[in-house]
Amino acid sequence: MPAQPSAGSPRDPVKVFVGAAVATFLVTAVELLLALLAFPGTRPALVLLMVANFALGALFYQGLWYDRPLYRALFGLGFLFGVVATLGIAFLLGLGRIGGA
Amino acid sequence: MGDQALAVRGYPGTPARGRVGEAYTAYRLGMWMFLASDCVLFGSLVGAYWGIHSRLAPGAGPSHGFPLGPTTVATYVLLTSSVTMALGMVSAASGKVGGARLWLLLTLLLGASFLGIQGREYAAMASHGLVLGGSALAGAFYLLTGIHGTHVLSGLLWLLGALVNSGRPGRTPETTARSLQIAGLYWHFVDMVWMVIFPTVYLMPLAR
Repeated sequence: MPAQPSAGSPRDPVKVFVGAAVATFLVTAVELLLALLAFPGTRPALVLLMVANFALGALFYQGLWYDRPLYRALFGLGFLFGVVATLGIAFLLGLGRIGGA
Repeated sequence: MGDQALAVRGYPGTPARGRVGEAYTAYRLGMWMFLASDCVLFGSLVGAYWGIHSRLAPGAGPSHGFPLGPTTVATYVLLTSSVTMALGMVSAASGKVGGARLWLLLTLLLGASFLGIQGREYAAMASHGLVLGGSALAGAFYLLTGIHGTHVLSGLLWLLGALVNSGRPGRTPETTARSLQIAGLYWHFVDMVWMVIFPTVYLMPLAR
């Protein structure tokens, strides 16, 4: 018979999920604040916070931090291709090389 | 962290044994493959939006002239739905099917609220003249947010099916937990994608 988890365990899934939620709520609030204040140079900070929010979701909600290495590799590959597609299409559209002048 | 520890603590994604376990592993693998391919789909759509927006004059874009408030509320509603989904998955993994069903119902309500707010936003944008065929930017906006909305709708139908199925005779807490774990993967991904769309479409044009 396996032992029951202790209430104060740092691995308590409820605490992990609620903690991740609080973190994503805060990161989103900071994003909003930065966008509304519109200081010069806030765009790179927004991109960083956006990546942080995505990483928080992938690690704790999707469960990449405890799931099988194969799943991590698959999702990582998909994410990498997604980033390449984002940057490639944005760059080519910005240059006017695709989608007309 | 060992598999046994995960199973004890009721984490979603705990290992399964036997034929049913093998099927579950295959479903889980299939879902991860689907999510990986969806990363490319949404990456392309976000790239298209960025590229088209970069050609516009400063200050142009859907975030100007439209209230940010409703979309911010929708964003927090969707974020909260990920928490309720996760808590439902934990309840199901712990064998508490009744609790899981309640969390699932709450997730459904939050997801439907998100879609409702998005629908109202579309109507407001249309009244400001931003219609699907109006411009390249409008097309990119509706394509990006519309495909995300379609994902949310698909997720809602899936969760509704899971909720109905969980009450059927013959379903064990274990099968309910497994089906929720697969559905949860999808739902969390839809939430994560919005965490990219929201800053890209609504916040970036405001920032400098």
